[in-house]
Parts: sequence; structure tokens; C-alpha cells
Amino acid sequence: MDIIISLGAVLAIIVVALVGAQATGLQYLLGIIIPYAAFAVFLVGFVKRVLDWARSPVPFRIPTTAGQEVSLPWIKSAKLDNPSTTSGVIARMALEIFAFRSLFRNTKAEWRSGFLIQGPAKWLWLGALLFHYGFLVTAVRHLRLFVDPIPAWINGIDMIDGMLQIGAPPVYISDLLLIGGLAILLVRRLALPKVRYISLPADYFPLFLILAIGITGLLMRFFFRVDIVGVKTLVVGLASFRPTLPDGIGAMFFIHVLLVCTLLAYFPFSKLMHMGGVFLSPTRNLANTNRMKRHINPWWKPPKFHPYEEYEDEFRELMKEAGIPVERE
Amino acid sequence: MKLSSLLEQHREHIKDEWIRRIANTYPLKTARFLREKHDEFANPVGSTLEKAITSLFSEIINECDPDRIAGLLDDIIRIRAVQDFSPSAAVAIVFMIKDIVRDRLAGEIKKGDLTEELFTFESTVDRIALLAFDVYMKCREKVWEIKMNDVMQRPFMLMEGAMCTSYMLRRGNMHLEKIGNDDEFTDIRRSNN
Amino acid sequence: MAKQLTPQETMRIDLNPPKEGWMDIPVKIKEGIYSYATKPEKVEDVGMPNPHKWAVTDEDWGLPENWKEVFLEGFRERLEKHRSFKIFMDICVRCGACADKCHFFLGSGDPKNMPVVRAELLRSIYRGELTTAGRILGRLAGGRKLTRQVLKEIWYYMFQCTECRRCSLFCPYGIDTAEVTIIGRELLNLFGLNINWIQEPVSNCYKFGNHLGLQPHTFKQNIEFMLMDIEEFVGIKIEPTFNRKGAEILFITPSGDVFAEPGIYTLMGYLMLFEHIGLDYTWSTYASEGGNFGFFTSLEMAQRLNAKMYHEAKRLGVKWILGGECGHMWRVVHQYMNTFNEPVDSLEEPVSPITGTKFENAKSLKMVHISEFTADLIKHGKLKLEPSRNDHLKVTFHDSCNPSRAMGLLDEPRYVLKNVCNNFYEMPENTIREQTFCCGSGSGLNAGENMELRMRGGLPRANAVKYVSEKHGVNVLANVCAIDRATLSASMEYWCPDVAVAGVSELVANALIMEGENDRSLNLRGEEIPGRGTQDEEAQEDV
Repeated sequence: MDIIISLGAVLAIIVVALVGAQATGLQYLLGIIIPYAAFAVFLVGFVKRVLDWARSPVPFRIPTTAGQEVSLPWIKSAKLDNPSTTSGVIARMALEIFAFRSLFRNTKAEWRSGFLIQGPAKWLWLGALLFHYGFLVTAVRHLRLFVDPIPAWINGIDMIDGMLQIGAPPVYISDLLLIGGLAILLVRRLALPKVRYISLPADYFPLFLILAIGITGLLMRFFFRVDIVGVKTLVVGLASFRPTLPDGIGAMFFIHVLLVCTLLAYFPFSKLMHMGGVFLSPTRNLANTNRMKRHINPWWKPPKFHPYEEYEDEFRELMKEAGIPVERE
Repeated sequence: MKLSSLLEQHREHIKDEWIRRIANTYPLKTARFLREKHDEFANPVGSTLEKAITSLFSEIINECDPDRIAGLLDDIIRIRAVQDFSPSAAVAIVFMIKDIVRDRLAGEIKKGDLTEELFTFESTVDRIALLAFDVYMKCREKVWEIKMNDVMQRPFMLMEGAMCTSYMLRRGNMHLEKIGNDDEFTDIRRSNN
Repeated sequence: MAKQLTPQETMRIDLNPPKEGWMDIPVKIKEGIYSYATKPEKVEDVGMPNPHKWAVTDEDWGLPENWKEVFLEGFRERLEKHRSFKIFMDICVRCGACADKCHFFLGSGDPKNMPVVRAELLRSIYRGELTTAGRILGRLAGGRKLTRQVLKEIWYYMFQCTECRRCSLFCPYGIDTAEVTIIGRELLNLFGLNINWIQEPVSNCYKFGNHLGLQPHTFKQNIEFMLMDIEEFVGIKIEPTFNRKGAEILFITPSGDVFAEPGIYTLMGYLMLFEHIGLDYTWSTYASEGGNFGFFTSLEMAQRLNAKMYHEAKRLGVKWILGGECGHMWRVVHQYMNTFNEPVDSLEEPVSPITGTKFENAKSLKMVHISEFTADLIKHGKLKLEPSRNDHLKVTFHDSCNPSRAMGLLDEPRYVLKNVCNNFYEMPENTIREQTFCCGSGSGLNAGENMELRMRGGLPRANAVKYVSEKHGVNVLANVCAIDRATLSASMEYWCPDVAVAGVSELVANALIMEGENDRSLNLRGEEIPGRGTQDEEAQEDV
């Protein structure tokens, strides 16, 4: 049921775009107004969300330690997994963000049987990594549409990405990664009972949405060619705040754009915000220096406890009898 | 062909089906997990199930040694005895093999006129089920014994000035012979009574 | 013939595999899984809200009229106070990496024991009651409404989590279920809905200084019993001091070790170790608890109980504090104590008086772990050891959740063990060190009435112990945690009866060559050490 709703929502977006692309007035809406609005929602929403998290303090220093602490000088500490310095924390975070280290941890047990990738947990790491890198490169590559002339580094990425030289125009590696990674994540979510059990519409929807974005992108490139010059004019116009709407771009483009806009606008309100949240996670971004340096809690209040004096008053006679020293005889 | 050789021939299928049916007594999502992941330490229930049933089936069609069978049943039932199963559901796993054998071998049993042998086989399964009942009760009694020991050690149960009961009982006995009427210990034993 | 009843049918009486999503399955609270409800007077003792008489099996849990507002307001307040909680409510992608990492899920097969679902119990309320999208879209946005039934479900599963953090290790965003459980329990404590096994020790600790409620003279007397044992088994007389002003070091350890087997042997180990090195230290009857069950009610209560340690250290004028073997004690001491309390000026940066080693890693808090302290002593050759006295033992080491995943104390106890025992074997790598499995009864769940839960939760750990026991003949499970000593004993009794449980310091003391000792034919448990029997007895056996 959750799956059908999510899939239905994505299909509805496609239909809306398809209809809209037929009328010039609606083209203006789809090609200019909605992209501006979606981008604004994304930017403001994202920043607001991160600021909202940052507004909550970190009252306690609670890193999850995943290795030996720093203690006696002759015991080797785990600098990455249990960092006690800022550089250690940065390295730990970098591994977490660029290599999904915690997800990779799953593989450890399985190395013994001689296979690198085996079992669902490894598929998760692989799928996630492929997908995220595919998505990143694809997004960066799209910058070539926003600027004119195209900077050399974007062209470089474009060239490396297309170096497989399969077909004309060549297939991008990043497209394969993106679609392949998404497919793994989706199949996994549908096929593994325990993951399916925990899945919500909010988990299926972004998968279908991004998949639809990828597929429409590929369709545009290989089957329903759109007027690339027109597209560039439109996008550069948007980027330079002098929007123009050239004729005859092709419906597939508008579908692609509306899907992307949906993703942008949906992003700040969804689990996709893990992109920002991972940087702020207190179990990962704090050094394990608890006993070396005092961590301050901004809402600290002195504790109401049972002071020794009262304790002695209550037990003085018993203490004296047992030969335990007391403050007041 | 005899039933025993039929069972030998279909060993893999019957064993897998048995494991599958046992796993299916868990909630759906868990059942799949129990069947799919076989790292001994990452999935102790699933791997125990796999190992014990494989050996149990061999044992049934070969030696049928009651001690070994009880040991293998113990591996599985010890787990089920502390999970969300009624006593009947905990031991019913044994009977499943009857259905599996009938489902799988119905045609061949009829054809080879092996009904007699089937009865013998099923009687064996019934006896194994009785063993399973013993094992289940042993496990449950153990749980209660641990519970009781735990309660006996509870600080709230004790009088002021006493120590852990099991320790005191043991110490008391040790000292009884050695120091006879040592005041301190007899006092404590009295206050505990 | 009458209709046949198949095994499948008998089983279906009890177990309907859920076809609906988890939100649609109402909670079934089962005997053996939950612990008994708080007694009102124990709530009152510490001035916590809504003390009232109730039972888990009651239909009505005695919630106040405005419970829903109080709960949601409490929820909101904690989102604003803890960035961790806010982020953990927002960013879970439900990837399932944590699902099969929980010992309770592995041992019970109950899908709601997957860490992600445990957290979703609260997240669904967060979305359904506290976010705009969830309020409008409801189930579509993964939200649901807070009802009395849902509250019971939250209660049931918040007390089926031992805050062990194993799931957090595998989460790509470091989402820590312990953090969610801590706050979930805080919310339940707004209504006096705790378990008595936690609340009573909290009240005791507040009033008497320790969880067991031992009054000062009893605390001292219990230790004196152990001194008598040491005199008998080892042949030496030890005279420790209590509440002594001017001692160099204050020693604090969980009171469980003052009271119950096999923890008392660990405590005897401390007494002998300190005697052996001539340490200038004192016990305190007032700060007589290392553990902190307050941590399992609310962070505020944890702070209130923890305050005694510094308060007493200041009063006695010690230089620094040495802490005994305990799991959750070290979670609180290591990660919270330095924030809970203002610094005490009279304390000094800890230096071992025997070796001169500065404990740089504890220079601000001024509290050192006994394993760090002992490892340093051994490294400097300050202990006279005869490890062969432990030769009849084959030892493995269980990393306790908190020292491993909230501190990183992994190699110190191993170093100590390897120096006092000749036979040491590790359990499989995905069950030790930071990946260690919980004993199954942590975070105050070590009651008696929930034994089935404890046995389930203990299965993954026991399974690994069984493996080394069968492979290498391991017969001792060593650890540095008072709760482990109590709970693993029960778990071993059920799952691998051949394995005994011992604190690291007990094994240290067995190997210590004490000045003026007897022939040491007995260990600290008063049992004869194989191969060390007196000549007479051996001769008798020959006959």
C-alpha cells in the first residue's frame, strides 16, 4: 500500500508535467516559476532545518567509541575510531561521510568466508555508496548547463565521467552508478522482510522520485532528444536571473525539471536531511576527551542531593558504634 | 525401496523444509531473517536451528541415539523455552517432520506399500516429541530455578546486617563443622530464618 | 474421525505472524518480559512526579488527567535540550543496518525489538503530534497519535532496551538508541511509570548511599566478612579504613560487589591488591555506590546520585578517586560526571603513588579506572604475581557495553588478564571489543521476574561463550562489570552451565603473592585450587 501511494505520487507528477508542457503558459510556470520557487524552498528549508538543529545544545559529550581509548602511553589508541583530537574527529567524520565507514563495518565478520560482498548488509553499503557518488557527480556535471562558458574543471569531470565511450552520446559512469545504486537500495527495501517491515511511504517516495529523475534524464539523452541549445538558454537564463523561455524544448525536459523541483522542495522536510544531519551527530562528531577536558552543559543546574551532613545526622549513632569516624560527636 | 532409503534420498529437501517450517513459527519478518543469514554469531538462533536440525534429521534416519537426540533438541528448545511460545508450540516442531514426510513422500509410500514403515517412523517421531517435552520442562524449571535464586539474593528480602543468602548458607555450612557455635554466624542464620 | 489438529494449528493459537505494519499491531504485554511496577513510596523518596500504586497488568495505569499534554510538552522540551534527540528524530532513513545488531531482536525474534522500530515508536509520535506534515498527513507521513495503548507499547519496549549502543556503532549517522531510550524513559518517569527494580535502588542510593540500602555499619560489616574470608583463605589480615579523612585516594565501586556472589570475590580482590601495594586509600559508607540507577530514570536523577562522589572526595580531602569495575558506572563517570558537577578544587591530577604514572586522560575529572590503574602497576613490575595459580582456568573476556562503546576501555583489562592468567582465549571478533554483545540485563533490567527477557537477550553473548567453551575448553568468563557478574552468572547457568563468571580483579588477587600468605591452596572462593592441595590431602586421595 505504502509502495503504491509513493509510486502513484511520482506518476502524478509526471502526468502534470506532461500536460503542462503542452501549453506555453504552463511551460512558463514549469520552466521558470516552479524552479525558482522550489529552489527557494530548498535553500530556506535546508538552512532553517540545520539552524533549528544547531539551536538545540549538546549538553553532554557522548561519542560512540569504536576502539581503544587514550589512556596509558604504552597502550595504542584507536585514533580514528575513538578520536581524542580534533583532527581525529575530522578524519572519523570524513571516513563516515565519504566512505560510509559505519555501514562498511558490517562486512567485517564476512571476510573470513572469502567473499567481500555477501549478505544484505554489504549490499546496503555498496548500494548506498554507488548511489551517493553517482548522484554527486551527476549533480556537479549538470553545472555545465548553468554557466557559459563552461569552466574547465566541469568539462574535466564530464570527460572522465563519459570515458567508458559506450554508445553515442556516451553513457555516463555516474548515471550507471546512480541507477544501479538506486536499484540495489530499492530491491533491498522491497525484498528484505525486515527492511520492508520498517519502511514508510517516506522511504519509498524519494527512491521512486530519484529513480524517475534518473530515467527521464537518460530518456532525454538517448531517446526523446530535447533541444539542448534551448535548454541551456533557459537554464543560463534562470541562473543569471534573466529568465527566457525558448520554444520547442520538448516535453521530457519539463517532466525532468518538475521531478527535480519536487525533490528540491521535498528535501528539507524529509529524511533526506540526513545529508545535513550527519555532520551534527553528537555520537560521531565529538572527541572522546571526557575525562581530560570539562564539557559544559548550557542548561546545567546544581543537583539536589542528599548531603553528607544529613546522612551523618541520620546514622551518627550507628556509625559511632561501628567505629566509623564522624564529623560531629 | 525402503522408507529409510527414501528419507536418505530426500534428506536435503526434508531438512530444509523442516527448518523453513520452524522458522515460520516466528513473526514473518523474523522468519526470513532466521533463514537467510548464517553467521554463527550475528544470527545465533538461525544458525543453531540450521545446525541442530541437520544433525537431528541424520540422527533420526541413522542411529537414533536418545542422548544425542535430547542434546540436539535441547539446542533448539532451550531457545524456544524463553521466547514467546506456548509449551505446545515450543515442542510442536518435532511433529512437523511427520507432515513433511507425508507431503513429500505420499506417492512413493503408497506405491511401495510402505505404510507399515511409515507407522514405525511416526512412532519414533512421537517418542522424540516426548523427549522434547522433557527437554522443555527441564529448561523451564531451570528458568524458575534461576528466578528463585535471584529472588533469594534480593537485598530487600534480607534482614539488616546480613549478606547474600546463598553465600551465607554456604559459608554457614562451611563454618558449622569448623567453628561450631561461632556467635556471629549463628546470629545471622537465626535472623535469616 | 474427528477433525485433525495439526501442529501448525496448535501454534497458530499463540502466534499470528503480523501481516499489517507494526503500527497496526497492538502491544501484547507478556509475563516474564516486563519487570514489576514502581512502588509509590520509592518514587516519593526522591521527589519524582506522580507517585501512585499501579501494576503492569492493570488496564488503567493511573495516568494524570492531562497526561497527553505533559508527555508532548516533555517531548518538545527534550527536543530543545538535546541536539542528539532532535537529530535522531529527524534523520533516520530506515536503512535497517541496526536491525539485526540488537541482542534482544536476535534472541527474541520480536520485530519491534529492532532498534529502528524501538526508536520509531517515539518517532511516530513525534511526526504525528509534533510536526505539521505529520499532523496533516498522518500515517502517510509516518505519524500516529499518542494513545494510552501507544504509551503502554512505548513503556514495554523502552524497558526492553539495555542502552548498550551496539546499534549506534553500525548506524551511518550514529543514531544512538540508548539516547532515545534514555529520553523515552525520562518521559515515562513524568508519570511515575518506571520499574521498581530501578526505582528502589534509586531511592536506596539517595537515602543510604548505595543501591542495596546498606546502612553505614552494615556496609562496613559486610566488608569485614570478606576480610575474614581473606584471612582464612589467604592467611593475611587486612585492615582497610572507612570514611578516613586525609587518605590519598577514595575508592568507589558498585555496592553489588559488597553483597552478592560472585561480585564479592572481586571486592576481595581489590582489598588484597591495595594491601599488596600499600595504597593509602579509604572506603566511604556515604559514597558507597559506584553504579547509578538514576541514569535509568532520568538524567537529572543520575546527576543527583552522582553528586555524592565529588561531595565526599572534597569532604575527605583526598587527592583523586579510583573507581572499581562497573559498566554503567563508567558510562556516567566517563561521559557525564565531568559535566554534571562543578570541578572540585581540592582534587589533584591523578598520579599513581606506586609508579608515579600521571593519568593524563583523567586529568580533568580526576577519576581513574581500576583496570587502568592495575595495568600500569603490572607494566611497572610492581605486582608479585604467580599466574600459574590460575592455570586450571581457561579464561575469556566479555567487554561490557559501556566501557567499550562509551569509553574505549578495551586493552587495559586484557593486558591485566594476560598477566595473571596463562590461558586466555578471545571470543569471535564480531562479538567482542566495540562489537561486544550485551549481557542482556543491563540498564536496570536485571530483575528476577523478567527472566525470560534476560535469557533471550543473553543468548547472543552466551552463544559466543559456548563457542570458545567448546573449542578451547573455556571455563571462566571474566569481565569488569558488577551487573555482568550477577547477570552473566544467570545467563551462563541457562545457556552454558560449565562456565563460571569472575571479575578481573578476582583473578588478579588469586595470582598475587601476598606478604605473609599461607600455602594458597584455596582460591578466593574458598575452593581448592587443583594441583595445589596440601601434601596430606594428596596422600589421602591416593589411598
